[in-house]
Amino acid sequence: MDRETMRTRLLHALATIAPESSGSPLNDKASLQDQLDLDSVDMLNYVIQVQKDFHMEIPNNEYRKFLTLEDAITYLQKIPGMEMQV
Amino acid sequence: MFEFKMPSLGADMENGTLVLWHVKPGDTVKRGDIIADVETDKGVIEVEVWEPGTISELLIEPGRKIAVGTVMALLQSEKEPVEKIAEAPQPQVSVGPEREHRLRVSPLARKRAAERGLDLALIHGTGPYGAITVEDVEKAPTAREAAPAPDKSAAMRQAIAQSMARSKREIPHYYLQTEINLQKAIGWLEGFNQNRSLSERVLPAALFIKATAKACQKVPEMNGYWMDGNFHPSTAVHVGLAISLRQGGLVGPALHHVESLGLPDIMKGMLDLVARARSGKLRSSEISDPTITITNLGEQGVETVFGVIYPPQVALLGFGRITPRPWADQNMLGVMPCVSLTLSADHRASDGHRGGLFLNHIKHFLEDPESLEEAPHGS
Repeated sequence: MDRETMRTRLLHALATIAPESSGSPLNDKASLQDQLDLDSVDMLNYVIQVQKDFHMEIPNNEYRKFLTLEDAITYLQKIPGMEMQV
Repeated sequence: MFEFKMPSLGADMENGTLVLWHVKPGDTVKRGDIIADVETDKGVIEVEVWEPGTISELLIEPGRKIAVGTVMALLQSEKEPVEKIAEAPQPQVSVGPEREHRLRVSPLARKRAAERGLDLALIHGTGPYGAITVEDVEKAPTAREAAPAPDKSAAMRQAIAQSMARSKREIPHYYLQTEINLQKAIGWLEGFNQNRSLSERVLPAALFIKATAKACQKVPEMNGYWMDGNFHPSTAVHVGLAISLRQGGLVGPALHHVESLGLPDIMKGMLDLVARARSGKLRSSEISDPTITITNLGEQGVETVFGVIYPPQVALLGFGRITPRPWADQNMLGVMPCVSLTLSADHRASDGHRGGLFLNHIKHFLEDPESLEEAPHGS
């Protein structure tokens, strides 16, 4: 899975829990909570959706890697086998 | 036979629009099954049926706006022998003279209407015997040019305005505030979450909700409704969670029976409730059932919140931001993560003394977090 596909899938997971965020321009390096007015429940729902969409388990202590799109993509790129996923 | 009526889905709700039915004549339903979607000022709500039965007749067509209390459907109760439900007659085209005239359309007018995307049934004909002419079709507005779609966010704002104005007009509020040291709770939560997956992670808000439910059982004057000049306590604790909608507006749906839920189930319920509130899929019982409400504005950076009670409830709790504060304990000064907790309460149902006891109970539960981890009843 290339970087662009990862980004698209992350945005899809975001749109599932924050439908009004679809189509909003986002700064990949800025906090998603600040840009989309998400609270901790929204963020947890988002990361749980990412687990489903990427077919993976995210450890509790890696939760904060998903606060920005950039950090999430960097984390996903390091997962063995993630680049081979379609 | 019993009637299913349009329920009230909010303190000031007067009417709603039926969006669609989830059932048809002949279907059997049990308590809690969703029977219809109704659009209100607070969005589309899934309406549940309260008694089991078999659908006999649906009396309202989708798209109709009806007042609260209007009979929407007839059901046969489980105790009655089920009669063979006649198949709904196929809709027939009216053969009255007005309808016949409306169907008179010249081929050119029909072609032009198709090009413009217009429904011929909605065009007034000015030709002989009310025939629809090309000129009639050219003059007819398209759907976009017709009355603009109602501004839903303005409607929700209006509903909130009415409810809050009523609250301030009718409820003699009193306010109390206390500080809670969350050092133990946060440390305990880190240990609790350590061996759990992300899907099972418990947030501090779940502790606040559970502590509230336990305190309601100690001070029942905070948990129930003020109606008909009297306080009606509730044995169940259905905690309303104030959820702000990013597109504007506020809803306070209930997490049911928190008194018998463990922390993991409270978390699961909260995640589900917030997700459905955001996508406009709440159920009627969630809108009408809260017995007390919590508002948590800490993540917006607010330290203390004095809220407005949602009628007919009699109390609202406000949690602020968890922030490090100087804390004196046994003549020693330290820095502890603290939260400001406020109570807005109805002076008709309780006095400050009882309100103070209520806050103290919540404080003790949060300062002894193991007391919040109890197995649900019956397990």
